[in-house]
Amino acid sequence: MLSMLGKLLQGRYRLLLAPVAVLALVMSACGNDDDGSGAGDTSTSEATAAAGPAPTQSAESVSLRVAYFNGAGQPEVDLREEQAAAFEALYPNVSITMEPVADWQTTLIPQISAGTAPDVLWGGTDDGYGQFVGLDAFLPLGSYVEADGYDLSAWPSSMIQHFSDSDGELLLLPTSNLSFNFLYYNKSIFDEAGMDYPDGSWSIDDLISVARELSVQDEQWGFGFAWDDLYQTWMRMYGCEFSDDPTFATDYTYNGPHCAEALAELDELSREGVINWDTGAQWGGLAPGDATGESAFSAGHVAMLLSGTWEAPTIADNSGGAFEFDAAAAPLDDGGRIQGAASGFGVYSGTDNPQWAWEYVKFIAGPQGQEAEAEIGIGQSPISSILDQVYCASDAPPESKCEVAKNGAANTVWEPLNDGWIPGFWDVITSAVQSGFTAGSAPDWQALLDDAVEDSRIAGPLL
Amino acid sequence: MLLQTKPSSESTDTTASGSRRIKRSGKPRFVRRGFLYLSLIGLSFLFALPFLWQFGASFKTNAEIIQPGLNLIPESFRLDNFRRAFEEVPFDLWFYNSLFIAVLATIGATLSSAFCAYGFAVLRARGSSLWFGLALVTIFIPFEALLIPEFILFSKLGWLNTPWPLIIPWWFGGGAFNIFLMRQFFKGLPHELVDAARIDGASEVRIFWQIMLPLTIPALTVVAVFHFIYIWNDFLRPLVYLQDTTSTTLPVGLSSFVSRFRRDWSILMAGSVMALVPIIVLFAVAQRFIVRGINLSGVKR
Amino acid sequence: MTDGQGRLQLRRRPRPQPNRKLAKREARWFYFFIAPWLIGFIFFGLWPIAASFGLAFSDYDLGGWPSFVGLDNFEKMVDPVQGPVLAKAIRNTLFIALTVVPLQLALGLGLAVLLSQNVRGMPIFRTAFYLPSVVAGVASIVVWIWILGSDGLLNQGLELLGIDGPVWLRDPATVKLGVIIVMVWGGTGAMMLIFLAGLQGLPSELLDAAAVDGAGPLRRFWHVKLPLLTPQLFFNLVIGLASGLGVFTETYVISTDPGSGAPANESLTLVMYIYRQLLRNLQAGYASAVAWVFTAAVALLTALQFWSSRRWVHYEYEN
Repeated sequence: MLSMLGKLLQGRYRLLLAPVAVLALVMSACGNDDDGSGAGDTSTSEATAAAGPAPTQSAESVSLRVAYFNGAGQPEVDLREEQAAAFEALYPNVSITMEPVADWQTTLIPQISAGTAPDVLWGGTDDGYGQFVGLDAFLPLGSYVEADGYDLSAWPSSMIQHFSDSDGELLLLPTSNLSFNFLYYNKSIFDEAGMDYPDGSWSIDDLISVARELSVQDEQWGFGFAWDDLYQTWMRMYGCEFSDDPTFATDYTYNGPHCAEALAELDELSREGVINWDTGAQWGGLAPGDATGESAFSAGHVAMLLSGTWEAPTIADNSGGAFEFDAAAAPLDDGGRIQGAASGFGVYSGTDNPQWAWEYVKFIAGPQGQEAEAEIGIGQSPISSILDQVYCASDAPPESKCEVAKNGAANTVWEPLNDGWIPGFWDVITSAVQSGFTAGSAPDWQALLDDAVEDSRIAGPLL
Repeated sequence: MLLQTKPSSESTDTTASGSRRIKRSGKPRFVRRGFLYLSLIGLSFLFALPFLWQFGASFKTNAEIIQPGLNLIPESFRLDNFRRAFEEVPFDLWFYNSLFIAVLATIGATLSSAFCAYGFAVLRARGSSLWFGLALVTIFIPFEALLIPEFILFSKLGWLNTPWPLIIPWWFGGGAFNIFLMRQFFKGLPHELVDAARIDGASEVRIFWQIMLPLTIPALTVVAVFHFIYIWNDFLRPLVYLQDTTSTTLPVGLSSFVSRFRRDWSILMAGSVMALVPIIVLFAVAQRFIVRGINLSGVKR
Repeated sequence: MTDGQGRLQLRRRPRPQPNRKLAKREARWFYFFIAPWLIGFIFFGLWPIAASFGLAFSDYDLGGWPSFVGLDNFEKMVDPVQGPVLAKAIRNTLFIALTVVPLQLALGLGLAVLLSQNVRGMPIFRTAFYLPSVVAGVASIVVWIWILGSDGLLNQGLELLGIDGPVWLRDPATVKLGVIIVMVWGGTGAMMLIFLAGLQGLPSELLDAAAVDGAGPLRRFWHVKLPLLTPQLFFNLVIGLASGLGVFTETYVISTDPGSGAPANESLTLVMYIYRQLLRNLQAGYASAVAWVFTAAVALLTALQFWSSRRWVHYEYEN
């Protein structure tokens, strides 16, 4: 065998032979390029689709890829697969591939820049929505909404406005509004101290004084954040404004009134041992054996924990029933607002089948789809009737989730929609605030924020 | 599970020199050996600790896992987490995907890197160090810098959502890291071997395949083990190239248990422990070849 | 081959230069053997590398088309906002790499030598030392925080000694030490394996000869084994430094949100900085520019190592 190869390779062209053989291998491995994936040639197909037949009449076979954020694990995967199957049963010419995404930026940004992103895209304010808008990843849906006469009145107008572009065209159909206003509390700790549970009417000062009272040096903390970025929600509670306009920001204002005050007080409280948080805690304060966030609350070391509705099952599981807990609405700011994360589904601007993608968006993000989501307990629907009839009716913990969620729904504000926001705001404020909190002694917070805002303006100029 | 070392020709030598050592150092042999074993046992425990904890955690409930402290041994050896890994997620499918990619990529990388390394290490040509330098530079470029262009390239080839971007490139040279490693080993072999074979009229392919390659079995094994583990644990590439749940690999699939909204440590631990099984099996098998390499490399100079 | 005192005489044994015809034949075989790599490079490497190099001189936000901006991206590296952050990333990276690599090398070599002494149960020890390299991925976050957390294993150990340990990964003063511990723990096994494979390939005649000459164990290690291990040492040094300088996963895994470099950019490494500029800030042009400066620096460093290797690495083959 070997000697044969050797003889074969003794000819004049032996050096050419090997590359050719290998090349053939590559070519055969490539298969054919055309039936690969997603958006091949966008320009021509978009033209046909725009003039194309209405979905119900068409019999041409269509394949759709749908990317969604898998936050809830297998129950959500099952639901999404069921939805896809139901749609396929309704329209037999359509086949759907569901693609759960965990790391939103790493997975989708390459796809968007290569023009091969899924036809239907999930978007969330805390997961790169601003970036995707900056990449023009979402198809403006105005004409589709109009053509169908689709009724958006069930959604809060603030939310529709938030998910529209600067021309007022809708980009995403919102499915969920996760407000960060769930103030979880450990009933045992309150009972032992003989204190009243939080009831949603508290001001930030009430919260602080109760938290002080319930703190025991190095053993028990009155209050905690589920993840480190909640210092921003805390700043908002004091009335700090991060930008001049919550939707279309043109300038950074997080050095304005009450901002430095909020951080200085937070700094003092954490140095005193009243607030259990860390500038390095992950989303959900996650790590086991860790002394912050949900772990610390579940271990019974923290009286009150700020988070969202999704935290309850984890707390129930991790605390192992060692204590009872419930939630109350967290204090609002002077303007009556609280921070939150909203999300929804939109159509990828590079899709071959915008009409079908829009049909599918309506199918999963419309009231019917949201009901199915609410039934398995994913998120808070922005449609109040669904919140009432499905979310509130379920017996999932915490007991008072309904009033807290409604309070949140009425008062949430979201991160501004701007592609300068991430390099300008997140990149700068995160390290500035962390350096302040980890400094040996309390820094001059006003000066620190003034410097940071200057940096923000250079690092991420807004519109 | 692990294989016993076969007594090799070296062992007698070591004992012989060991007896001489008694005279020199004045310390009895069993004290020296005792000290050696003590430090080995201590160190290996320290090194194995993360795994031991993970193994213990795979039987624990979430509430048990988040408790701080050593807690190496679970309260009970319940198999619930393992059952859930099969029932709640397509663990077997992810396992198969991972295995398919890792096996094919490893075979390709090992053979291909040995082949190229023979060229770089043994054969002389003008510009050879230039080519080698170029190959090395490619491993210094951060993955991030090439992420987008590579992604576009593979999307044009129609390879997205297929295992090919994670396999085929390894068949072409096997990566500069592996070439470099194999080159180092080839360079350690006596060149008289090649010279003699050439005088005997053996072709280069034959010299490579029948003379040099068998001598580098320990190195080939090291390359294969490294590469398999590298591919098996790789997170970013499968994350980027495999979008479909059914085509994804274990590390990406397992990562979905821990997200902002959900922290299911126990199923993650059970899944991760099961994911370690092939690596440990591979390592146990590979050790035999590393050991056998000793006997084969009895090269007379 | 030994000098009568157990010291190995490693003279370079230059291969005789073949005549021109044979040299030409050998060169053709060279290209035959490196062909797979060369073809792979042309197919899979060339275009991405050229594209990313071009991006270094462009403004590209990953949407639309890149536009040529000359050296703007390189100027940005020293501007008042990015300058200090980048400088910090460079300092962190150098500190981590220059601490980790010597520790990994020394520990890896030490363990390999211990294991090569005909130890009973060697496969078990070998597996144990290599295990940390295997426990990777998401599960390792949990394990590492369990070890380095505020109530973690390390701090409990320190408490026994009466030391009140820091929250390793949350404290700006210690986060790099935490990363170093993770890297040494995880990276030593691989180096050990390479040394071990090298040690087992050593011709036993040489060691016997040295022993017969009456050289003690230390002397034999220093003068016989170590010189013969220099190819492996050199490999581990080059690769160790390159991967130490390119550290990403370890810091990515233990940091707050991916690429943040928390706390206060103290764990921000160069490659993480590149990741952050690319996937969070969507500044692909700038990210590429930083990546190419990084690549050039590592390549230069490696070239220096290769140049110096002529003095201390002993190969059988000298081309």
